Amino acid sequence: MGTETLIAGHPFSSSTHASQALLVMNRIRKFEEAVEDLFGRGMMHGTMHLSIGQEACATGVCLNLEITDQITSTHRGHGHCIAKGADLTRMIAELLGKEIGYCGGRGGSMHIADVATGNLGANGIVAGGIPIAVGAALAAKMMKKTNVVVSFFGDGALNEGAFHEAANLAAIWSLPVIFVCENNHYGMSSSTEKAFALEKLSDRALGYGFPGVTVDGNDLAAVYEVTQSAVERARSGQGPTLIELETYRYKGHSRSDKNLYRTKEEIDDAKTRDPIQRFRSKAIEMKLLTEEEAESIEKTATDDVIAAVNEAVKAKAADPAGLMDAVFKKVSL
Amino acid sequence: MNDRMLTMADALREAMGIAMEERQEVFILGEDIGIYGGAFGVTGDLYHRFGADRVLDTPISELGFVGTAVGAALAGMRPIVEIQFSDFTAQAMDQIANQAAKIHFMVGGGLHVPLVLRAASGSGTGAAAQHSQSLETWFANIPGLKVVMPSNPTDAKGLLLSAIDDPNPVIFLEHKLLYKIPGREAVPEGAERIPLGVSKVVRPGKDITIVATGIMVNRCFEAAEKLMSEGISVELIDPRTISPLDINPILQSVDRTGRLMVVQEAPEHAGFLNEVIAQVTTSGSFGSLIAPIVRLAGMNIPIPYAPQLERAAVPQIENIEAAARAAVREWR
Amino acid sequence: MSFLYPVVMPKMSMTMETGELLVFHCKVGDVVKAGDVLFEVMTDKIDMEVESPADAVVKELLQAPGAVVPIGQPVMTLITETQVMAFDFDGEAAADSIESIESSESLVVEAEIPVASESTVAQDPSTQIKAVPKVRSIAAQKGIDLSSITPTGPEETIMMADLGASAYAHTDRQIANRNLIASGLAKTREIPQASFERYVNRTIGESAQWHATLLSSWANTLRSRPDLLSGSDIGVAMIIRSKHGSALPVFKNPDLMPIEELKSLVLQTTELAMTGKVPVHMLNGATTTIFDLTSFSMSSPTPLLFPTHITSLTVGSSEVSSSLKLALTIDLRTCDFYDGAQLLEQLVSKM
Repeated sequence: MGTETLIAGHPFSSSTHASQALLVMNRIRKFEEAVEDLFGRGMMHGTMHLSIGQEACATGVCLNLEITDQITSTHRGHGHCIAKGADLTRMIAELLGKEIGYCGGRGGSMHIADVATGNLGANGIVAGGIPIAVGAALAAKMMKKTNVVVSFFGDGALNEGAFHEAANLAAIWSLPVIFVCENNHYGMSSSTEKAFALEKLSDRALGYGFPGVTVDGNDLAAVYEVTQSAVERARSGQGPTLIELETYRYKGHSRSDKNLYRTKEEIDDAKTRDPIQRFRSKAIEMKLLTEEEAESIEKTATDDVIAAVNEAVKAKAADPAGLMDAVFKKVSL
Repeated sequence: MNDRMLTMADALREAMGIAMEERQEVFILGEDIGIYGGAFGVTGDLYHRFGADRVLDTPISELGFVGTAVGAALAGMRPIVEIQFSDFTAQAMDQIANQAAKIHFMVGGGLHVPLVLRAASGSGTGAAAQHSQSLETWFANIPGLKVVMPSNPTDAKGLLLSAIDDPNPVIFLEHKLLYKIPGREAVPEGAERIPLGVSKVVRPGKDITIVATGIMVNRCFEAAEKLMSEGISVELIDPRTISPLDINPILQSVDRTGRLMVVQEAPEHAGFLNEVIAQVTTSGSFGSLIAPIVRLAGMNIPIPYAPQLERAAVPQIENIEAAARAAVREWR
Repeated sequence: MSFLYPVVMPKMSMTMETGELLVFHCKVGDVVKAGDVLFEVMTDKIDMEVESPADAVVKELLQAPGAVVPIGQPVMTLITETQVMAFDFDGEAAADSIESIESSESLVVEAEIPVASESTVAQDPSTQIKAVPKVRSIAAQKGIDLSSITPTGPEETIMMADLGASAYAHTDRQIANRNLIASGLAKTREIPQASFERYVNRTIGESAQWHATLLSSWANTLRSRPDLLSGSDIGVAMIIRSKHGSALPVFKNPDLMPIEELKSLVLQTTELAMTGKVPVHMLNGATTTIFDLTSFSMSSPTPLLFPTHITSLTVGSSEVSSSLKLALTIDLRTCDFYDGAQLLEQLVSKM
């Protein structure tokens, strides 16, 4: 399956936009479930960080972006990658260590980048991508381009020095960057209540002199709308915004997680606020989609992921022979 | 006096000016580099020539602005970052070691980081332990970084131009004591590059091969002059690029002289010049050795403050002379 | 549409390979909802509840509590209407995917092996000889015995200066050896002699076998002409490489020995020659000499005749592959032209 970028626009603005939004969110969900299954079968090396339950964050933000807009992402980045238009086969192939994987098997889940769709890479270091996003925004400004850069990160990153230094630079230089914090309320095991002395994490922005805003990250339309304002701000040269998307993570931090720090009731309660279900119901209620169309979209997403997995599994494994040549880009004379 | 006898600071500034004129994507960022002209006067008048849009003063946030430089490089610019003291690279280590060095490899080649990170290194100014280190070994052991240590203004200019051309991250370590003094020769005008990864035989000889880096190249040169008058002929080699290391001239030299001495300012334990020794002894040139290999390096201590202590902590000309003399006289 | 879904032992940490099934929380026929706990698993790191991925009916329990199950193996099955994202690959596809994980050979950067030194190193460190690398290298090449050299370098290390002129000269032994051969052959010019050449279609097999065949065939050929011999013993000297240059061991009556025994003798003698220890009894009594030049891809038009040997044979490579060039020199005082030609003819037919 090749890359397919989104047509920008509000998800409730038309049937086309609603279908697109539902398809993308389902693709992310099915992809993550497939990864979970493959990992559970021992077919994937290392560990996986799943974003099941956070699909509206990635989708709502990326519905505002052109293909020339750029993103940086995190260790929990499959959703961002897919919402920005990545090729599902190449993503699975990377997780399976195949040559056709996005990184040729050399990066794995946490380092997938897709230059063609403006994805400057997921990052294995918490907050590692934040200064990089600011730098890409600086480049856009210096090269007099009109693109913006979105930096996705989690609540944990807001405490890293890199965030503070980068936020300050973005503010003093008025850079076209949007900081999107997906607050799923937990680092690996520490809750935001214990890690912050703030009620609203978006208040951090005030310390640097730019606006911060908090919305329900499981409400696709709300995510879309708040991002739209931030993108307009950035593109018109008014500088950065911090968006806090309140969401929830169903599964453990990664597959090694015992979920000890949350109660079953807490997890069950969150499932009733499933972003995909909420959007689906609303879209049908607004007569943008029928029940049949919604089911058909879910089936398409499932089929897309199954096809990608089947193709990737058959692909050739990455070969160690090329490793030494992969470290440096060749100097062209 | 020949007005092309530039100091190293002048030569570096000249290189950056040339690069910035050649390509619009080249820009500089760092602390106090704008109107102030840089803590060691290296950027000088570049701010006046190119403006605040291309010579950016940053707040004190090495992690932030080095990371910003990485991002700008990914997006098509060619940033030159000036780190005021190489010791402060520690603040930015995630962006240098985990990001810049590895992005090209990790993403499978689709992105690259054409970044130059220049830093003032070395001891002798009484700046004490946290402002005097020689850290080339840290970076040399990180695959994905290139590391350069110029020993004179001519090399500094040509190597910096090549570093800016290079599509990969280059750590460019300059010695503070060399900024304000000219070299032994006039610096050529024009934009000629000196390629990275090429060692230089600074002085040919037949009795002993000395490999030295940074300011030690100059001290070894002085020592060699003295030893010549005693009938000892020193072949002095400056690798110039620490990583990737051009070992062949060194191997060929050892095959001819049979004796090897390595001299560095950084502490002896696990230091970079051990790499030179390792490559010589694991190659066929091992069989050419007629004397044990000699290592002169900094003491395994943080750099002390008082001048006599600071001096004692690293190799000086008289140490180099004595060691080379002993190697030649005692091992015939 | 109904799907049969196998619930496998999940991999729950990077290092987990098996899990122990603790207890089922369902039985066959139960209707379960998505998220209901199906069974509990214990690993060395964690205890985990495995949940149903969808609304389903329990079909079969495949393992019993207490079983240790490898990751990826089914523990139980469900029937469900939901198309759960689950994949069932045949062994091959799964194996291919895992292959790059399993073969964890790290890339070892090969270091060049330094030139090995052959100098004598005593086991007892107090008598261990110290020498700089170049001295060792030269000593090995020239066969210098380091224990015979007095070190004057620091810490009793032999340095270049201690080798003196001998480092650059050949050993006495080598010189003596050469002189011996040379003085013998100097007399060869005085012997009236003639040489013949002949090609034979023959390839060379394994070295010792080949030499044994040569020795045996040639001796046998000579034996058919007792009129040319001075006694009934035939000694065939064959030139071989030795520690000090070349050696000429003599094989007595090689054609009267079983070929296997002769082959062993050839091998043994070759080994002894390389250590400079050819036995004395093999150093005389030769009637003829063979020079085998095939290993150097060379041939010689005029084999050198040693005084007291009636014939001398070289076997060399020819320009045509799979054929050899034989050259024979005879001492005209004992053989005449026709004898020489006939000997060659006979040798060819035996080969």
